[in-house]
Amino acid sequence: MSALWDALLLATPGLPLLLAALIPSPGGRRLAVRALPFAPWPGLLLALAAPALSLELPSVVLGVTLGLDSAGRVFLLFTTVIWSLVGLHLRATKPLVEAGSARFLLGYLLALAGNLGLILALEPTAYYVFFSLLTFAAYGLIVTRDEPDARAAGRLYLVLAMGGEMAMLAAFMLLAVDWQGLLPALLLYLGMGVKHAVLPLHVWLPRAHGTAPAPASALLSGAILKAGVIGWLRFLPLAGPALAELAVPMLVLGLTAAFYAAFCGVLQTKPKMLLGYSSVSQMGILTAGFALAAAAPAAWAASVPALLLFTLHHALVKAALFLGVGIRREGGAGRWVLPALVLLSLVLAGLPLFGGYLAKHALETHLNQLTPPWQALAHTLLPLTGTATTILMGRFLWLAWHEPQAKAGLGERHVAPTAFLLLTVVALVGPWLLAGLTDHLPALTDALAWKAFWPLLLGGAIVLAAVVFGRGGHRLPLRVPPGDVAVPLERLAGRLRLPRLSPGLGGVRLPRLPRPDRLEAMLLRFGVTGIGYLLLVVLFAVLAGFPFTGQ
Amino acid sequence: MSLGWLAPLVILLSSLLPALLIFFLPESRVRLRNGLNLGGAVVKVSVVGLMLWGVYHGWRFELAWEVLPDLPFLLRIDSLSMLFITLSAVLWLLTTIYAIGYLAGRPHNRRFFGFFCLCVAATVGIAMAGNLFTLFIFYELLTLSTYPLVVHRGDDESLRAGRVYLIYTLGGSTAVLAGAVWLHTLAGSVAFAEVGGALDHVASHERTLAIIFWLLVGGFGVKAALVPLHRWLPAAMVAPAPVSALLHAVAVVKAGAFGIVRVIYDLYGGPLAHSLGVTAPLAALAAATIIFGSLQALRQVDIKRRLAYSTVSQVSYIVLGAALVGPVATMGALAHLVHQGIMKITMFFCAGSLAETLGVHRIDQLDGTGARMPWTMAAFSVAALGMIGVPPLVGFISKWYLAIGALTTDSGWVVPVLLLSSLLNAAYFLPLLYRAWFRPAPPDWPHEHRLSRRFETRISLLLPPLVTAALTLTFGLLAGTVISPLEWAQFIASLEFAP
Repeated sequence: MSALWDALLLATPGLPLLLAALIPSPGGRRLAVRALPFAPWPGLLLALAAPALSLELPSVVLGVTLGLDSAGRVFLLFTTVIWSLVGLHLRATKPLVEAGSARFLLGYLLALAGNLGLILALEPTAYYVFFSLLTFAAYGLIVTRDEPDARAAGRLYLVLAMGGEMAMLAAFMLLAVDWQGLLPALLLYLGMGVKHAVLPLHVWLPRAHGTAPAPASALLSGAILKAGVIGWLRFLPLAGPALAELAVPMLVLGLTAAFYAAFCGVLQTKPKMLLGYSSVSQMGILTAGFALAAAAPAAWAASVPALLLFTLHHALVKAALFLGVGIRREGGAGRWVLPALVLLSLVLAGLPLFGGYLAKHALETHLNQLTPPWQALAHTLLPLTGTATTILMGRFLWLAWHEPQAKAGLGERHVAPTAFLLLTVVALVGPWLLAGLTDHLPALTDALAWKAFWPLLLGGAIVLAAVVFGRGGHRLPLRVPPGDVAVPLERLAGRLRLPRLSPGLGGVRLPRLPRPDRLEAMLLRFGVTGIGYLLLVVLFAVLAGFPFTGQ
Repeated sequence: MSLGWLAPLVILLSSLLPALLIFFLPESRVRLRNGLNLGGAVVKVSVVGLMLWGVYHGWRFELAWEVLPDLPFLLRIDSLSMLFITLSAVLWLLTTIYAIGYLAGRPHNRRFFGFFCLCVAATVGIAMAGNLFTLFIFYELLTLSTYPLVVHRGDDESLRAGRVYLIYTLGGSTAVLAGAVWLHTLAGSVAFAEVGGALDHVASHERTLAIIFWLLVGGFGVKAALVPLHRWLPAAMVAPAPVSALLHAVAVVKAGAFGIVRVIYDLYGGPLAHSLGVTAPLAALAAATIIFGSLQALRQVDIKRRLAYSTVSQVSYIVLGAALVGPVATMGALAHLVHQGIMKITMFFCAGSLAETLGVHRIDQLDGTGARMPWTMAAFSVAALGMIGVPPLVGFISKWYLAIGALTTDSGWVVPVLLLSSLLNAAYFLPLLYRAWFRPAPPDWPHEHRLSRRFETRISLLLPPLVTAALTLTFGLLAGTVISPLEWAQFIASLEFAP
């Protein structure tokens, strides 16, 4: 029996890899497209039925361990569900079978393998292997058009992702030699945090998620965004007691992100960009949640279920929201799309009795792990994030309502909303199940108290006021370009004429690096240098007494 | 082993004999020439396969001959030799296949393949050299036998590159000679020691030993392209692709790096070199080379020139690891000797195929090559990602062991250097991949040849890079198994640092 589970463990990242290997041939591509919704099923089966597993492979890479633990099971569940339903959605969009989409398909399958693999990776090496597979493959999901905005988004993504990977690698190296102190924790925070856009490394996310085709954005914001979260869950505790020093910065950065990203998001004009900012904001709340856990490293395990609940809720809701943006809204099931979007928005904002509320409630039970002044701060600000989200999602619905039907990009051919509606149902039910299983269901009186409602009502009132003002012809006085602070930085980088990652060597003139150049030119006049070198060698030798020293 | 002396001889002759025979064959005897070439390479690979097993089980092979009193010509095969011999044997076989395809129908193939074999004979000679004197002889032979390959095209640019190459490398050889002679007067004839160093009996002459160390390292450093002695390497890019491949992956730069490893570990011995205080500056120099090479690579528009500067940077990983003097760093350095070889040779093979098939030489011409030559560019991509250090490819294995080695020898500053180098590698390789895979192809290529009806290019140009790319993946993925270079590097390090 255990051999069967081990085989299933290997098949989880193995099946997508196998399908990816079929892509070069047209027949294989057709088969892979047909199998798209089923590619994550070994993982789904594993999550539903397998016992806790651990499989050591000592001779692979540096020695890896794959397995399934309780956190992995939750991640595996929502990840496979999201990928399956997005796969179902994508399959209905015919152009995927054509030769031109082979690259997208390859990126999709490799990203799936990476995403599932890193959930099963119980130690750093395997985690890093799959993480970096995911990083590179996701580029193929983001950049699907040969246009400047897609290129720029992809470049920004890669620059930050590579930087993050190096930070993470450094952390793993330090942990491998049992380095004590704050440094590994900080590097882990930054390195894995890039994936879920912690401040100040969030700039790539809105642009990448806003530029990718809607189903790819659903994957990016739903499933792939959580790749760093499971890394934090597994590997932050390895940093030991020093982790506690990181709690306050994490709390501050997390809460800042929650509000700052909501602010930037409201000022967006495209619903997908806005949703990207919403992800940054929500991940800020999660980061604050991690700060609670980090404040008490010894009680880490006790904080994990609340974090898991929040992650599951956000993954499912955000994936559904993105999928719902690029979908047909007329006829048959189509008329359910807008109501579903409204409901999902409310759930995200923390509508009592639903996922967002359950997750925040679970996080609040750990507030007492912080020291008093910070505890008070978090206690005040956490409900207000609900207000911010309400305003943000109000703006989202307004944009989604008014936006002309999305032009059909890759995978956005007008498709029946089956997958979207299924995902919505899972997003509504999933958090209840998990909260019930982990004993995080609040009492009904709590859930229906004024305390749970006021943030939403406050936000709703502001949205209402905005709509009334908007009717009166007032417009938002300010626009924030997607990527906010990165935009002036990019402009600055362009001015600095540093060697850029840009492949666009327009006219093949490269920026000059004066110093190495001069050295090069000097060395090229080698007639002189070579003889000089020889003379130097001889002089050196004679000065040192050659060949007269010796016994 | 009574016949132990035979093994080094067979290894040497398997490329020396074809070289001599080829020189006497007329240009038109293509089949016989190719047969000799491939035959020699296959014989060598098979013998090497047998010997690997033997060396692993404790056999050592030795061939000594007293040239002058107290000055033996010594060929000896130990674990470190085996690493380098295996690398050169396997890659020589692949490069021969590639070169036959690449040069088919061109003039002067007799000269080319003759010197090609000679160059490989010199390389294995360097690998097997048991003392500095023997090492010097082969080192010099290598210099002279690669010159005709570098200037093979015979145009002005090649000749200029050849001149630069000769001036640099002869300067380096002079330094090695000076160091070797001086050491001989100081310590007598010393053979390289597999366990520990060979100079403990003269360890009190600290100042002299330090100066000799710099002479030797300065000499070998020319071929290893340590900054500021690297300038010949990008110039030598004008050579035909198989030569560049061999130069960068196995023969020349590796001979330099190998020489430095020999000097540090088997001549001085780690502890002595460390106590002389020469290894820390060498590590710093290697680190500077790593960064400098990458920065320069970033500025190149010619594919092969970018690869050349990348070699400058990557070969210094080996020197860096050796200079850190610790078992783990040594493993990283020795594994990278092989890893860099298979990755870089893949990239040069691919660059050559692109130039031959499509006339693509510059980076801005790479647009859409992924669709036109998917297998070639896939191999190229694997190697490039390996260079960046993406796991589970071999570059990651090297980097990991170098970094852990640095951290365990209190040289934590190396870690940021390695990571920065990875980022720079990404900065100069990823745009190439982007162009190849994400940009549409131009309406027509600069200079297209239809080399094959069934494949994207001539099969002999396609297979070698596919094999080496597969090795790049396999050696990384199965780094813990007995087939991986890492395992052999661990074996060497365990002997070197035996308690």
